[in-house]
Amino acid sequence: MLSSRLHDLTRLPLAYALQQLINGLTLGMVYGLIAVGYSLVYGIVGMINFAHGDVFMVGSFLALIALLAFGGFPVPLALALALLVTLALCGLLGFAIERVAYRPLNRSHRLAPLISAIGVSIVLQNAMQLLQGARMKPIAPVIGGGMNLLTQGSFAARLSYAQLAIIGVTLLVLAGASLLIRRTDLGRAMRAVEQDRMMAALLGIDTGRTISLAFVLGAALAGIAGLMFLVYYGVIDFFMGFEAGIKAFTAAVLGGIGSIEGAVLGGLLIGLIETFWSGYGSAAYKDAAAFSVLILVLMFRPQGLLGQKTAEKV
Amino acid sequence: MSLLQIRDLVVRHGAVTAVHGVDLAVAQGEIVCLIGANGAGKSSLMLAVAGVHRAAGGSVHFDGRVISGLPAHQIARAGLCLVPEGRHIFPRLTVAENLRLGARDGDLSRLPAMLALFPILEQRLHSAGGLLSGGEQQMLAVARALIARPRLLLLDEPSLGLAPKITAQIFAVLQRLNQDEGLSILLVEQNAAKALALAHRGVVLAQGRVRLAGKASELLGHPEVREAYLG
Repeated sequence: MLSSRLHDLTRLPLAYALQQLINGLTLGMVYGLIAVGYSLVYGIVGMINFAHGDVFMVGSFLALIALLAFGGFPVPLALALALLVTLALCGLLGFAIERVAYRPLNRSHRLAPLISAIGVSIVLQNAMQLLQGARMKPIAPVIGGGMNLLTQGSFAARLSYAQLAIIGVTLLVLAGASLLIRRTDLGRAMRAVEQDRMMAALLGIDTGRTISLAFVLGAALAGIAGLMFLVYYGVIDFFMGFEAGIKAFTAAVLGGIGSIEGAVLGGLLIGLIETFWSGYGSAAYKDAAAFSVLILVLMFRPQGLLGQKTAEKV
Repeated sequence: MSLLQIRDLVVRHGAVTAVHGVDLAVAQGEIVCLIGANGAGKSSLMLAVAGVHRAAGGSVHFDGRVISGLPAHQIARAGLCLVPEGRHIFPRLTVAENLRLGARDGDLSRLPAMLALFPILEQRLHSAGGLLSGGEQQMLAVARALIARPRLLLLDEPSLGLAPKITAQIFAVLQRLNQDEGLSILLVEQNAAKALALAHRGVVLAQGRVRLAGKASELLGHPEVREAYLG
């Protein structure tokens, strides 16, 4: 079986590789969007928000419900509305998570909010299982069609319109988030709180509000990722936040946790490694491959690819 | 009525009481300096007034209203700005970004004046704060605090670790702002001679209590002050 597969690959090297690249980039965009949320929250409060993957899961369920509710509308309008609904409700969920799982534990041991986040994760999974059932939820393809980019023999590398939309929207959203963090007062306040919370407060910055908004922003991005995932794969279930969360967390660490650009880069790398590994080897070990790369990178660059070494102030 | 009125302030860190019932006032346009040995409770007092530590007792009035118990950011917004010991420059933000954070609601109208007071900052606007020298960081910390036009500036050990020339430059700026704009200052300083030369009044703190208080010129001549703090 392996030999016949290798034979195929030698006949259509370029188109096949191009297809893996497209698939990997699409998946990587989804991971990247989730990873940004991990990075934002970790950067500002040093807490690994283990409920974040489940916000992504809730986002995809909200998107599913919204798409069904707006089913009578033209597809682009339905998608835009679903995006807004998912973004807003997930943002609200992020706000609630900060209030319930982080703020009351603000001054306690730093592992305490980590445990409470795991608690929120379990609550969200169980709540969704009770509300929506344990079975996988399929949805008919929302965005159909695509374009052939390169045809070699019987194989055509194809960019579906769904992939195009995912890559395009993700790039726009990430550019917006990056602009927000680099150029706006809120973004400066977030970076200030991240670097020196006491001094930020002494300059009149409401640090509690700033932290809350970091949770909201991260959760809203995870919600968008949930919508993307639904549109791309067409199947969701209540447990999918766990795996996606672990992958995105890996992406955030790989890119350098705390760095937004790093999170995106890490997401793309994990997506590409998984896809190429499955495409040229066996899908069975794709996760092992992704995590091996993480270990290798951390051995030589403990701060991640784009992370800054945390220099202790004297 | 004083601009800042501290009454019977008590500050505790766990079981340790750092400040035992201190009374202190700063009038509008006045420079008051707080001197005392390490551990006398100077920094604890400053942090409590600015809202970083919660006072265990007593009250702080600023500009006619009670500020004790308010969170630090609300006290800052009321016009009381603390430059804490160690400067606390945001190391991975540029000098310009550090200054913008000081400005309230994007009001940068004071920026040119600050850059005129500390010209070195203009040359370093796009450097990361963490790359500045100690003196440059202290100038940035003072400029960042003043950019929001505070009514009262609290300065904790501005001369710590700085060359005398840099300290003199910073003190000259403070004196000018006090004379020209009536900026009120509460200054904590190890360097008692320099601080008393700048201040109108001085307060000596020992073991969390007010030991001596009076006109700066009188304290400069006081035998106990000369012995303990002026060498």
